[in-house]
Amino acid sequence: MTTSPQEQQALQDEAFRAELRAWLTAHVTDAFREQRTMTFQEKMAVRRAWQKTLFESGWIGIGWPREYGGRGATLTQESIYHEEMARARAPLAANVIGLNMAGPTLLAVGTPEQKARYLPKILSAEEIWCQGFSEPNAGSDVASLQTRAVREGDHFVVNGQKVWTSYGYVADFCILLVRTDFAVPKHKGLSYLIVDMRSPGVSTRPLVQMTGEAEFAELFFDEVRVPVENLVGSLNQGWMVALTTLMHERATLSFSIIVLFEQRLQALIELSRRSTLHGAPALNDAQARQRLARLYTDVKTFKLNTMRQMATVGQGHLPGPEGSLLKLQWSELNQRLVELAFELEGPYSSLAPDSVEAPFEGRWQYEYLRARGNTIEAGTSEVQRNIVAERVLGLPRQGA
Amino acid sequence: MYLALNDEQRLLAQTVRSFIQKELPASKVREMMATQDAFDEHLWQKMAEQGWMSVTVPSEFGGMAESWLTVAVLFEAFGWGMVPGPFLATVGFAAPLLSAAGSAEQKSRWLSAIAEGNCRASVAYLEPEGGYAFDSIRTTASETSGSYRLSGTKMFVLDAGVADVVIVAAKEAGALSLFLVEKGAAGMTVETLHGMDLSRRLTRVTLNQTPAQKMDTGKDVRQALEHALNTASLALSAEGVGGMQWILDTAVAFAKSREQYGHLIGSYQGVAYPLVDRALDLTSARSAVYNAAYAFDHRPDEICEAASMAKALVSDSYRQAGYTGVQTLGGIGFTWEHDMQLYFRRASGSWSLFGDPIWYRERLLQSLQI
Repeated sequence: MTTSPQEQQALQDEAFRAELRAWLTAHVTDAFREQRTMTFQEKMAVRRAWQKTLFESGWIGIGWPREYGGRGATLTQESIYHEEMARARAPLAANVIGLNMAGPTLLAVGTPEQKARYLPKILSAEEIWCQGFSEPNAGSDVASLQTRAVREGDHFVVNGQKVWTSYGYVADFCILLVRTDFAVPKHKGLSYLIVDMRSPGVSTRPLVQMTGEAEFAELFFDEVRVPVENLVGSLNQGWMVALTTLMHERATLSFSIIVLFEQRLQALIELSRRSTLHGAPALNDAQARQRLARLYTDVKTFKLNTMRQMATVGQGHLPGPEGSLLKLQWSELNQRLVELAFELEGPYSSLAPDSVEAPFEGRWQYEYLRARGNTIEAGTSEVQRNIVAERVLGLPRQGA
Repeated sequence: MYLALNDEQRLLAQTVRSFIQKELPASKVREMMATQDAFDEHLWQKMAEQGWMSVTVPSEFGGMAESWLTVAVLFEAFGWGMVPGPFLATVGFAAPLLSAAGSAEQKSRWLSAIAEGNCRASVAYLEPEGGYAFDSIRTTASETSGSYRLSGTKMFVLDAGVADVVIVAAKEAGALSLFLVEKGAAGMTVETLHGMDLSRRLTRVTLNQTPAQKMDTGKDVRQALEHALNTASLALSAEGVGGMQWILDTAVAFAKSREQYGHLIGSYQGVAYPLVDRALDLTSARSAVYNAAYAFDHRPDEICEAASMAKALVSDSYRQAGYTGVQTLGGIGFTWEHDMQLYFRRASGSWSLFGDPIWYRERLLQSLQI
């Protein structure tokens, strides 16, 4: 009997799953358990150590080409990878921006030298990356940014300010979008640079958000000298490079979000077992059950939507504007998810994340506050809807 | 690839669309809807010639037993085209139930006839009271020396008026059983209800000492019925995805051409954003349907979960698409003349068909043991 190519692939996928599961069982030790009470820096230390462990066994960046340290994994295998990570309750990788934004952008448009220099250390988490696009006066309208870079010999000299930079004060490198030509329309005068965060003139300041923690930073650039070989793509073509990054962010970040959602859904079911409504577990309440079933369905369809979209990316297309649909979906879905948790907590919902009386160490309290940022960061829901309207549905631009 | 269509399936979708454009223009759909049974024998035969009646019939009975993903593609295209008549009842519901619960002889007779285009079939399981639960069925079966007679009232039976055979769920000495009742059987009356969906007929089937043939007693009746509910839900949900696609395409085209206050209305965010949300709903609905088909084809343990999700999701989002479709078109969308109302009414009439989303969400949690 011969096996079809599909059956062979399925066997390979199952072998892949078994190998990874065995590896995770052996390697996800207590040292890799994050605690809610840890500071961001402490969590980063755990995640760095974890990513290093992944890297040493070739279990990071698995979808990247082999020549750059990946495994050339198929889409199904990437999905299995994230399922198994969730199942093993593995921590996040440390280098989220490097793996999901800087790395894919360099793979797509970087020079051979840039790829060789940066990609291996993105995978190993030896170098953590951040992204400098948004500015105080350029949020959704990011192309109107004012940070400037002026060519002086074999360097650009950068001056300006960035805001809402994830990992900003732990990062080693920054993908920085700057204006290199002020005389042309706003999208046409931008360039995309790699900036060493230890360069003289770079300073950072934590940006405290409504949760009370500082997950983001503000970046300040004062006469920072950046070698010209750190230009990604061509001079004044930075907008196109940035779009490549943003498309990757919107599309590929979805895989790690799936993992989060699946864990969060299990936690929500656990919460509804423990919470009381009308003298019985909330899990017995018809309305709560309906909402749980809806959320379960939403998480599942988000995962399926991601996989269907990745399939087209896998066929060699850049992630397209359809990624905006996924971003819309996960951000609003997460808000619904934490809202149910908030409401199931009854009187305990009135407590702050740091209250010692808050259930589950205040994690739902925290997530409830944090989720409000989801529909703002990485492109607001309004921007995403505009993108889908114009570029997916082909509706006329505003004012047309 | 997982959840992606192959070339044959894409070709099938195109073939069906061309067929619909040729054989079923809007005028023809309206004409059929105006008839007693929304049925056209000539059209049925043409569909049978394409092999579409046999997609859920096993090959040993002359069928093609296509993959469920192919079946979903077919229903999606039919839903896009608002195809009237008993196709859903016959191919999506009755044929799979016959396959699951029929005796060899019953299958040979009825499934072969369905595959050839010579039989319309339906399933009668709901009653005036009792909701969707099988346990509340009151129709009774009594046996006298090997022959059965049924008495009771069945409601919301799809297209029983043109059915050559109706599968009836009844209690025999308190136990759930399935029976076949042939067209014209003594004591059976079929009355047409006035349904929301103008493209199919909901009926009341009254049975008074009606002769019936019992289906294979060796099978687990409840399991067979659950299976058929899953196939019917998959078919109806796939159809819903096609309908949602039609609504979105039609509304977007209108928003690109209609001008008010000196601008195309699609340039206003108030008009555009609901359409974006419907595009996302459609993406999710299609994922849920393909996932259910995938479960049928590859993961039997997940069928109940996946079909319940698809049915619950599409039932709600098809209706929502209808709201947006009507609203985007404005005045013309509210007219009898525009086809938007046909889709909206079908979405509304399909919401509770085979069980509503509230019931299916509970079924989903139970299948997950939550």
